[in-house]
Amino acid sequence: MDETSVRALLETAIGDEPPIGPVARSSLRAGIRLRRRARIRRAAGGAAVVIVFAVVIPAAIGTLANTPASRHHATRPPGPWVPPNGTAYVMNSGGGTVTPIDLATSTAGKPIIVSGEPVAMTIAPDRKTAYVASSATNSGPEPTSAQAVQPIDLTTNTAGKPIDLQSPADAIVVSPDGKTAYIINGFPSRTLTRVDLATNTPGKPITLSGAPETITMAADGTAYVTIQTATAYDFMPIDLATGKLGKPLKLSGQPGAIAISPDGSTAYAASQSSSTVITVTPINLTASTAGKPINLGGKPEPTNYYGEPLAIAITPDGKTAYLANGASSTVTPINLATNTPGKPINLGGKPGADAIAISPDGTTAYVANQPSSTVTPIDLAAGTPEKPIKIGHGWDSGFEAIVIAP
Amino acid sequence: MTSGEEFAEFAEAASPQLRRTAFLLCGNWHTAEDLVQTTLAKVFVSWRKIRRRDAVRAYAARTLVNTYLADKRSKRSAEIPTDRFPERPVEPHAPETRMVVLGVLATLPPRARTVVVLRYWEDLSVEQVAAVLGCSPGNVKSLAAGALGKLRAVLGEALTGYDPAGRRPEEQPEVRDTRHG
Repeated sequence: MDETSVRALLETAIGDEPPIGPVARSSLRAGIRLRRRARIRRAAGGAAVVIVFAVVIPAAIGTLANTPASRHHATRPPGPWVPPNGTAYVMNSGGGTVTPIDLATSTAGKPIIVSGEPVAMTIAPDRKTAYVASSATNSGPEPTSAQAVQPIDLTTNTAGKPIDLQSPADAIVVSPDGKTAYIINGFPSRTLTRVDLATNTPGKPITLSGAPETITMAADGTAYVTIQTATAYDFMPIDLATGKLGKPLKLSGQPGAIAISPDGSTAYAASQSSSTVITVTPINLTASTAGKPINLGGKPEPTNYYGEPLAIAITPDGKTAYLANGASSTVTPINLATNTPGKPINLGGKPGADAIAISPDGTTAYVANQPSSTVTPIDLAAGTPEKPIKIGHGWDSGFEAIVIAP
Repeated sequence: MTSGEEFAEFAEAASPQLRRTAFLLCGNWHTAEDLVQTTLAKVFVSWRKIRRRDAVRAYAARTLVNTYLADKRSKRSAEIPTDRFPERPVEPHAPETRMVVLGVLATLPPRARTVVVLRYWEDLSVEQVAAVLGCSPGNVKSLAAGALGKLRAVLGEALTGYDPAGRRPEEQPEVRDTRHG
């Protein structure tokens, strides 16, 4: 009895189906009640079941990788690791907060409360303002609802007035001149919304010809989106003025994160090609061709099945990419000259290396891990993790993005 | 569109197939619909965290199975496994097969039944089923082999010539639920 015939037997067992009731509507009502109860439990300090399912927003990571290479040097003076200057900002999706970390002292500051449930974060080219894009309601102690873009003034660490988008956001990028933000509203709205950052007013959403999932921008302002088709994922350029999509390139597997090299020549798409294999596919952006996928092998982790998050960041000199694997607590370096992976760096703590950013001086990577409520610095010259920085609360959702300001 | 409307759209599209899976797990359309409703309510609670569309369906299937197994655990004492077929056949073309398959499913312990449904109906790999159930791949394989052996044996008797090579029931490995057994 082979698998096909067992399936056929089970189909026979189902037989004629009675008509289905209003399941969708009743489950929505029941779900709202469940959410409310969970919030009350949390507010009362009771034990709540914590389910973490973080999705890393490649847009936020992609922007980081696009810092002009000339400003940075990849190697540091010999001797022990010294933390870089600047501030990292960690976005906590479920908690509805963005927590600043002073890098020089490795200490977390007071969380900045944002509206709704932030799903993506990017930093303006002048690195004085960060923008979070939100969707629906967060589950923090005082839940708020928003489908908006909200600026955060990084000089004062205060959140500005939310710019209402009227549909949930999935990803955000800011143009190199800092004048415009582009927001992707994926399934089901399938739109691209431009926001004029001088006046903070949104334009009319442009409907795209497919459901986009991510947007990534190269240093010259060229943008690329991924679209989920019936059978695969397509990667293609998008005309930001008209929303017109360019020639699609089929990706293997499910892309979890995309980063573009500082010179804008190559995109690197990290995918789970199967439930156990993680690959990084280099994409030649000029020729629009995909190179041979770099197999990170990885230890087969059956839990990957439910789409664990991946995050990827490239050093400012464009020599090395670092892939954070959300299913574990490891980061794998990839030599981009030879496209060969190095030995994974184990960060310890609970599995959940969900977001990664590299300091502008190229010396240190910061990896956010919500289950452990930590951000771990990695000394890139030595390839070793430093002492994790504790981030107050975790609430019930992931650290979905991290950006660094000078 | 709010996340609620977005969720409702997903729920509308996914519920028929989820209800079929639920039916194979519990053998009763009313219970199946209840299971789907409870499952989708749980999915809504985690909606934002599972918005990657390809993952939502799999997440819902896993939630369904967990809900079914939790339900079985809490009701175990009040329920007696049955050899009766849960429903009368309604299909004219394959009534015997339908009755036999439902009958065999009804005799399986909950975890063995879950293995059959996930492995052969939801098309999960042995490792994926093991991850859902929190047991070893070897455990999944032995549960699947036991259940298939039972199906083969009963069908071999009920349907002449269906699987003449099938082993007889007394030769089948015992199907055991390792968590409770």
